[in-house]
Amino acid sequence: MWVLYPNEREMLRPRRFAVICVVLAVLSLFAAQTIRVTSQPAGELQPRFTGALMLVLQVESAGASSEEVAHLLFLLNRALQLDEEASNLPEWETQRRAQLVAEIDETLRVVEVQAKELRVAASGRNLTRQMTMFASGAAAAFLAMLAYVLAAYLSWKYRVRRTFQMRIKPK
Amino acid sequence: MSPLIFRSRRRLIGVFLAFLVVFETVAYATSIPHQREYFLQLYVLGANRLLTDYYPNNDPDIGLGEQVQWHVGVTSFMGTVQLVAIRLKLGNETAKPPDEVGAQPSSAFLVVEFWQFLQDNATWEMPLFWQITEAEVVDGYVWVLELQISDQTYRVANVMAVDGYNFRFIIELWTWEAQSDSLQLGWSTGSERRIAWVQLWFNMTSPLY
Repeated sequence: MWVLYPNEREMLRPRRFAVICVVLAVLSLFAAQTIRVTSQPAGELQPRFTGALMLVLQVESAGASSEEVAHLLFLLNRALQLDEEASNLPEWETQRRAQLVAEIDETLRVVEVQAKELRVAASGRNLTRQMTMFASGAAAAFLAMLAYVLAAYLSWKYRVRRTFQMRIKPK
Repeated sequence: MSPLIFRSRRRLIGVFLAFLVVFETVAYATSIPHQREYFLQLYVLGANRLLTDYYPNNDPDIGLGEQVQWHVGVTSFMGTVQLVAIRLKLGNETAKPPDEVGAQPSSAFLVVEFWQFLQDNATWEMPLFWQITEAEVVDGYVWVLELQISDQTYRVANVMAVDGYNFRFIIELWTWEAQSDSLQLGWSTGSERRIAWVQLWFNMTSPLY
């Protein structure tokens, strides 16, 4: 069953080509996955809130969990509330407005710092998860191959035993 | 068994690669996000957060200083974080409603807008308690001059109705588009632009009492 016949040697070149194609296909799966994860939204950014939105989108596309994103959004919505409060203040409340603006700036700065940290952490985590996933695929393929070899061996052994068990009947 | 395997190493590699392709394809297919429709929901509920009791005593004829309690909500199924805005507009029956085909906003008077960052599968609901605090009657037209919405007062311009009939609030949903870096009515899904808006009618036939 496992003997390589001479005429199979002629098939080596197309087979090698097929193997290369398969390997390239697997590698392209890795590459496509990597590109999809690390691609970032582009565009000219407005300062403050829209800039923060872009950061959060990057964190999200890097694979951050919904709890991590929710924490950033909580801070951003808090900043929005403060902004609304500041814009509704009467003109003579300059001190209170300055205080609110400073608080908004600080909140957005915290969001920016946390978003950058989260993006790096989430990217690394996501990459590890994907590597693990594809490595498990390779491990599963190896185990399946072993099972295949074992099955083939048992089948061959069974056939050999049956051959020796055959009775020769004289005519 | 080993001599057989050594002699058929290429076949073994072929078997391994075949399994590898199958398992990696399965792994890749499970890792990619499933295709689904991306959309936003906009709704308005009455005083008790139900689809009833939109007006005091279920009478849409609102008096001066009479408080109306609504709850406006947005639910996101956009797959990503969205910066959404709800625009509250006041108009009459001749005000142009939003154009759903061309994705054009209503021509009604913009009173106020509310902003919120919204996560996928999340709902943002806010109370919208409003009352008309100033109005006048001129030649049979009732003019709304001032509104109070959740403790804030807003001046209104050019909103009137014949005998105070058929005023309406138009509530539009806007989103911030990262690509164009601007606020847009509705949202993009593929090549299409979709919008969501709600209108609620009321009368003010006795504005000065």
